[in-house]
Order: sequence, then structure tokens, then C-alpha cells
Amino acid sequence: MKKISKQTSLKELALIVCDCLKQDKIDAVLTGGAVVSIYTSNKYQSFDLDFISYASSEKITASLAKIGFKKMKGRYYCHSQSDFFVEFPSGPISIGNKPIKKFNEISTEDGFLKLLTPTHCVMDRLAAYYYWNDQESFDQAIMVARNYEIDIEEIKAWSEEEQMVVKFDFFLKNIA
Amino acid sequence: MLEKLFGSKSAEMLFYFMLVYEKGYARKISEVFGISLNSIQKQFLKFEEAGIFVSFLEGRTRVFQWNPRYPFLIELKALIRKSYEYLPDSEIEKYFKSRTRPRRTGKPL
Repeated sequence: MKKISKQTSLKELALIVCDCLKQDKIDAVLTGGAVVSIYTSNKYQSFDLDFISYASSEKITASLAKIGFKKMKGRYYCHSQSDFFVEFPSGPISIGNKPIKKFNEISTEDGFLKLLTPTHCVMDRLAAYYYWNDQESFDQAIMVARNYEIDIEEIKAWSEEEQMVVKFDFFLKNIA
Repeated sequence: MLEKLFGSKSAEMLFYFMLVYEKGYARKISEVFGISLNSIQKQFLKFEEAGIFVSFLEGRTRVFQWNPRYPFLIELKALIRKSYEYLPDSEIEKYFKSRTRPRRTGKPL
């Protein structure tokens, strides 16, 4: 396993963390802005890695201690050699009121990473735009949608359920 | 009624408040119910961590509201609504009838 240093990128760190957890039989999925960073090759730079896991805080803390992470106040973990934070927000993994069970997986020499698919990453960002008019999240959704093949029909169906058709149409115009 | 489920009386009252007014801040709620500010703040933080509420700064006040992305929001609010309906009218009159419509700036009371 690669050693964590100041030069370790967000993606490398995500791979190291997820791999470490996996070795301790802890299932964790990367969500949020870090996924955008990975799918846009850091056009958008996130500084926190949000993993959702059903494992206990004690198990996660013990596992991450092996690679040098310390638990801070709340649900944050930090590493003396990294500027990135690792966080474990409450689950479940969902978009709207539907659970998400299909994920993307990346394996490299740095480790293994389970993360949202590009389609679910776009939906995750659009949710912030739909509910809070967050323009940064909208821009991130566009960036990912332009870089990857996404399931427009799934996003459209979800947007209709959320009664966000007007905002969905605006999103569609912007990725064309 | 839901005190045991939610963990405390202040949590139960907090949920009723949020059901009726949709958003709120700790000092206001502590004043309405006569519950310590610290207790309400702790409840808010706990439920924010659980994803039930989100918060925004308005000036220097942290205002909480329901998290529209919480996957069990509809079901949770339905449970709280049902419990709220069982509250005695006197409790509803006492705590949940504050004016919510706007008041124009400078208008005499």
C-alpha cells in the first residue's frame, strides 16, 4: 500500500482509505464532492472525502488508525501528512427517497475504491441544485455529465418524481 | 408520546416545532418551550448529524430546517404529524399558534 504524503492526490487517498477499510471487512462508498473531483480529474477540487458506511465508529477508527488517521471532533478523520479530511456522514446512500445499490468500482495499484456511478454523482449534485439552488453543484453536475456517459432517463424519471422538471430541462440544455 | 422513541422530551417538542413552523433556531425554541438552550442545540446537532435537518447561517443565527434529501422525511413527518394531532388543544394553543404571516416594517402592533 502506498504511503500517505503531502503529494498524495485525493483519488489516491480515497483508494488507500477504501482499500484499508475493505481489508478490515468494512464496506464504504465514496459520495459527495470527492466523487466529482475524481470524475472531472480535479477540475473541481474537493478537500473532504465523504464515505458512507454502516460499520460502527469504533471499527472505522481502529481500521483507519492503521494508516495514520486520527478521529477528530464529530465524524471527521485527519492525517498528519494530508490536507484532505475523511468524513463518515450518516447513511443511507440515497437520492431522493430511493436507496442506491449499484456502485462504480475502481481498482489500481494504489488500492480499491467503491464510489457513486457518474449518473448518481450527477443526481447527487443536481439534488443540491434542485433543493437549494446551489449553482456550484449545478456546474459540477454539468462537468460530470459532459465527461461521462450518464443515464438521462433515470435522471429524468427521478426529477419528475421530485417535481423538478423545469430545473431538469435547464440542466439538459446546458449539457447539450 | 414519542419522547421515548426520540430520546427526550426536548427532542419531541423540537420535532413538533419544526413540523409546524418548518424552520427554527435554538434560542427561539428554547424560549418557546422553556427548555435550556444547550439542550435544544444538542438535539439540533444530533439530528443534523443524522441527516434529518440542515442548517444555514442567517446573519449570526444558525437556522435549521428539514433536509429535503433525507430519505425517510415523508414517513418521519407523517409520524410526527400523527402524534401532534394527539396533543391536547391547550398545548397546541400554548406553543404552536405564533403568528407566521409577515408583518410590514414599521407597522404599529
